[in-house]
Amino acid sequence: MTRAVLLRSAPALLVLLAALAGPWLAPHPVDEPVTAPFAEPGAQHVLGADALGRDVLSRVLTGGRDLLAAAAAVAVVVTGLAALLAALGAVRPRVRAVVEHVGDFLILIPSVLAILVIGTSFPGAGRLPVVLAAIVLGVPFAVRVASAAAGPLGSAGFVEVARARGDRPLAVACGEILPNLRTTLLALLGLRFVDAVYVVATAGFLQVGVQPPAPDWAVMIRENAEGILLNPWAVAAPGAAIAVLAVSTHVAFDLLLPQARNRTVSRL
Amino acid sequence: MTPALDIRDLAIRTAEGRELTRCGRLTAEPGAVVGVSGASGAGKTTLLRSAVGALPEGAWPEGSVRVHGDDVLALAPARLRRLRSSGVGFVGQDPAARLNPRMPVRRLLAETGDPAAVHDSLAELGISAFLHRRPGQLSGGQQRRVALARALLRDAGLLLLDEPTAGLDKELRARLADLLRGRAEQRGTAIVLACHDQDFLAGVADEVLHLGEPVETAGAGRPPARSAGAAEPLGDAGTSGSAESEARRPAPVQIATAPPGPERADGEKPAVEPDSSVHIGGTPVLEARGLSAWADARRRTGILHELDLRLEAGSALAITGPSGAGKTTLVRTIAGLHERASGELRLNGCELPVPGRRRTDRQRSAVQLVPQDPLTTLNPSRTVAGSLRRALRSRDRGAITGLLESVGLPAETAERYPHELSGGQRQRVAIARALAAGPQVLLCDEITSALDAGTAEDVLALLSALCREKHLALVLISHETPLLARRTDRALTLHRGRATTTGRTHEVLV
Amino acid sequence: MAERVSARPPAAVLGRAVLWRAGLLVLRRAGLLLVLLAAVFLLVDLLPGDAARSTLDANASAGEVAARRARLGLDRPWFERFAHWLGGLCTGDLGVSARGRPVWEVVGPHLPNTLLLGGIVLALTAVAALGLGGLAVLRPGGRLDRAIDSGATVLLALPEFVLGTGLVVVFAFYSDLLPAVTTTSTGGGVHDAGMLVLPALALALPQIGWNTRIVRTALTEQLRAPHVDAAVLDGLPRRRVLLHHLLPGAVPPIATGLATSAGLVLGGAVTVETLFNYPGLGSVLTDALQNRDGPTVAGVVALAGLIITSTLVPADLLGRWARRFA
Repeated sequence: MTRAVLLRSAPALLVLLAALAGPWLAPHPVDEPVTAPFAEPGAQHVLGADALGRDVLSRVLTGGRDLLAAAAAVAVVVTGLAALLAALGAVRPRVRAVVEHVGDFLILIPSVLAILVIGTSFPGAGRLPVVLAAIVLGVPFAVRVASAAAGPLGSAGFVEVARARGDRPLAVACGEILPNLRTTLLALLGLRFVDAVYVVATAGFLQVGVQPPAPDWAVMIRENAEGILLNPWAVAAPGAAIAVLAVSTHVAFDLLLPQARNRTVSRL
Repeated sequence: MTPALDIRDLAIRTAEGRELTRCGRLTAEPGAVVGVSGASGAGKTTLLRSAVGALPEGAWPEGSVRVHGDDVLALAPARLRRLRSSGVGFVGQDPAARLNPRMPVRRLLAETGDPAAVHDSLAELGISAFLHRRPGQLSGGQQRRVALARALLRDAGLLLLDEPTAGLDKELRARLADLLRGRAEQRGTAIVLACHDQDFLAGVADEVLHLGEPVETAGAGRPPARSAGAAEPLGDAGTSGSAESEARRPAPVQIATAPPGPERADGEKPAVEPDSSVHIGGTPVLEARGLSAWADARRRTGILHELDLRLEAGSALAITGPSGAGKTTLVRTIAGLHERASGELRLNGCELPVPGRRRTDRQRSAVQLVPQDPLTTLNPSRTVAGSLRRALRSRDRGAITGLLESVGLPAETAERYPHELSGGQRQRVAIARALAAGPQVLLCDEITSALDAGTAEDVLALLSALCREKHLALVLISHETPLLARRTDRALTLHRGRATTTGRTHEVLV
Repeated sequence: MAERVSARPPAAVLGRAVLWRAGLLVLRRAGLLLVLLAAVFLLVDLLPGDAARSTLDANASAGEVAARRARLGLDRPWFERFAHWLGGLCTGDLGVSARGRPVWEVVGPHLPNTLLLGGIVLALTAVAALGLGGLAVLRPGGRLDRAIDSGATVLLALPEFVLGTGLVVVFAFYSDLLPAVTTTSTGGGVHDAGMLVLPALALALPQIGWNTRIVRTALTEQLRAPHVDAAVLDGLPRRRVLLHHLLPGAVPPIATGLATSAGLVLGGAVTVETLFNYPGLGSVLTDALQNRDGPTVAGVVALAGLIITSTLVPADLLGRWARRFA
């Protein structure tokens, strides 16, 4: 199982490494034009140039770090909060009911709309509003997934023993239930990361939280779309980076969630 | 003439090699009725299902199963479907669940057979009155008849029935027998039925095949006594441990022979009241008065009704009763784990709050419960040492080792995880955890039900020793009367949440 | 042993109970929608910037601003304004935008475009997901099943704008079927059907991935049901088993999945409309946000909430109805 997960996440890990090491590997300066706008790929510029003549390769190598950092932050916080709320909800049903209602409420607002509204309301704060909004919006759904695994544990014998011993609900949630959710939480982390990449990248595409001339992958796609016929790499390269990262991570972590596993049943 | 069903040298095993069923030879000629009997777990259902080409997940077959001459286990999917729809009729166990709840009977029947032929079957089975109803609106017997009609409709050459008599009274069984015989004689249908009712088989079958126990391979991971426990009282093929199969007969038989109330054959005092003539001396360690418990917060479903109880130090009390009588709820309430309860509890004469949360630490430690299934009561992500540490509230290595020794476990057990231990070892760890708190009352709920005879004996010997040494009040819930008779002084029988008999063990549990 | 037939309450009582439960479902969703509208209203209210100020000249006097605020009704207490706005919603009057035009005038012409796009996407999604999910379950664990599952897993991870640009690259370079849409050219109204192809694909593919998995899981769950086993062992044709035995039980999760997709499509439509310069709600929203046009933003979010609620309620009801005999 671990080998399959690692194998499937290899492309994502490569992209991750490239994005982290990118700024040092970039051959050309990121902000200055080095050739004609939308110049075709050549010896000097492997991926050609973008709308302002800047080297696409260099911008792609530097354009991932912030995006990935923001997405990682969102994923970690959401998973952590979801784990806590799910474990607590297994011990105290009222918590779970409240979270259910909040989830049903948030489903009425498409996340993109919410990010858009919140992001443009606080223009000076960079990515922070987007990150915070993504966390708030992502938690209820993540709690549902985690609750599916934590729920049955709530009535398990050892939880009962702990409660009868007088342990407080929070202590029971953290001490008894959480350690048994490891695989689910790991899967959740990966899938939340994919979702966070989606939200942060989409926000970037809509120029919320980050604007040109920042070398962000999503921003690049937006700015260079008009020259797609001249140098498609200016759009295809950052697009491929996002796609590979999202797909590879998703395909890998999907293996860890129980319901995703292929279970053989009787044939029709 | 080709036999309708011809099974030779069949063995079906799981991927791990465990044998599910084995059959040397079974032949059903057209017009014959063959019965298959055997203990539950012998593989009757697996055998029948193999005759329709349905093997359990991941199972490997050996040998051949031929239906109307075709090897069913090797047929292509399309041909198999054709065979199933016109060559074989199969009626599985639990027919109620096997009917699509959304379809009216009319459609259920039309699905498998010719609508015109529907009428004949209906007349035979008497279900024409409720063609428009859905399965949810039918009684159990009616559902069975619909399921049977579905199989009979297509007039297949082979009819397979899995436990068709379950839940039917004598009259209906007789009618079924007539129906089957009629089919076999008049239409030449070959019928194979799996049934544990020997009388029924004697009346309807031409020959009966008896399935032996599947061979248990070493290291199958299941305690060997399971086969004894699974033996049916009638037609029991298992010769091993017949005494234990006696013991596992449920207690209701005892209830019927031990009448409540003052009439006792040997003229002793009425045994319903708390038995003051038997107590060993001094105040009872635990006393309960008017204990009642409910299943829901609104107190609509009562589980226990006004129970009284006395536990003495150094003595052992047995609690028996049919399943659902409330035995587990009783001990859980005493242990403080069942919140929806009321009544008076006294520990050493002092008031003991019913909900566990309201008890003091000392009170909580004094009353400990060893639950039935240690696998769910030991945190799977924690080592034995971890669980014991929490119970001891100290990290003292020596204390942990000492505790393990007192239950007869080696010190290395401390580093293992629950799933790495055997059933008996887990049960001992659970006992150790209960002992860690230094209790005065130890409540044990069916702790030997998942253990084989030898391990169960060891565990109970341990408990008796501890009970004597530490002067504990011990409570044992079990179905196994001989066991209880040996190990307890007094017994309490529960029936529907009320105590029906109390008194000395050898009087209550014969 | 006498046979006991399970008693069925008279039809009238049954009907009333069913209506009551259905009513509660609708009420709950409506209640949540109300909370959403209130939250949106409040949030927009708190936005820095003021509709009155932005519609006047920069050097307008305080008195003029005050007068304008009074005229736009911005000085009345929060509850009153909210109630007034809610009332207007029912008649289609979404209030007045910061620019002074009725919000409905701004939003109205673009709404049908988005609804058209969304409708096509949902229809595509439903057909494809049901078809692929059904195919996958014909032979569980087989090659087709695993291929469909893997394909769906890949599709659902892709952001719409990445997929959209990828599609443009493919269509521009590897075929001559280049629709007259890039981010620089504008389309007029949606008169040219070709304009819908790429946006619809970009939106539909991830949703097809998501819903195919839901359909497949729901059908596979149903495979375990004893009555399905009975149908299979009775040799019923596969299509019959699929449609009459598997599908009915799988309806609740599939319906909820599709309804949730409506919300996801609305969100994705914002990006796709921006990418393809499609004249829908997305462009209205981005403009309104840039101009700090609170009422218009509130109007768009309210509409979105309304649309999503109106897909969730039928899904809930359908789910209840599908479970009526189980």
